[in-house]
Amino acid sequence: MYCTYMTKRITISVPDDVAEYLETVGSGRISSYVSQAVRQATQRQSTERALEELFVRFGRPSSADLAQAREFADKATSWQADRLRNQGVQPQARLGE
Amino acid sequence: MSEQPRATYVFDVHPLLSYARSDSLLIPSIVAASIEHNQYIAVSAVTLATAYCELTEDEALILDMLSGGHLATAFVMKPLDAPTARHLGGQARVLSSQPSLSALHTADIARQAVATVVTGDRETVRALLGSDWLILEA
Repeated sequence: MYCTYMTKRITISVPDDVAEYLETVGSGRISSYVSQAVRQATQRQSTERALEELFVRFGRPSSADLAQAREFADKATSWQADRLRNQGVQPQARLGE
Repeated sequence: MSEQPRATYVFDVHPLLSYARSDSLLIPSIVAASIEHNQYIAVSAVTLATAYCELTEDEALILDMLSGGHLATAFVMKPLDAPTARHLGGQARVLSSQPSLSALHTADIARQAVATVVTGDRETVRALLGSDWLILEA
């Protein structure tokens, strides 16, 4: 599905390393690349705020719960990547990638 | 239309109920870690409906926070379409055990995505996906 947005021209200053990277993206694609990055960042912030609301409402997980969940997230990622590699499938890009 | 992201986890009905009833903080922790790790969680539409059937109205409002709103961006809801219904029905006919439609659809999603299953029924998942499938009991 395609959406048409009004666009506004703005000038931004970025650090040298970011500018160097953006030059590799291609001059005609920088605006869409930056727009997509900003959208992903704002979506992530909204998600984190929603999660924070959840924790305020039901209680914050202990650091042990979070550590266990992070450990399991790493395990699930590597298990999936190994199995996909064995099947000859490239893992798909994930959120924010 | 863009391709759906590959899920890292599939939740069956138990983690959804546990989350909605605030039984344990492990499930919110998994959701938080998934967001941190840029991972997606898949949920079968049948599983979601099964969970809603078992919840009170207040608990259902809590589950709404996962199925809608900003947290929903970390979730991929999987509909039960006609080819999947045909496939699952055929599978159920020949199985000696009698897994629920929700368990069958969850296993099918996990198999396609090569995703870890978060479940309260390890035995059924093992029977459907094999003993080496990664399972997190919740």
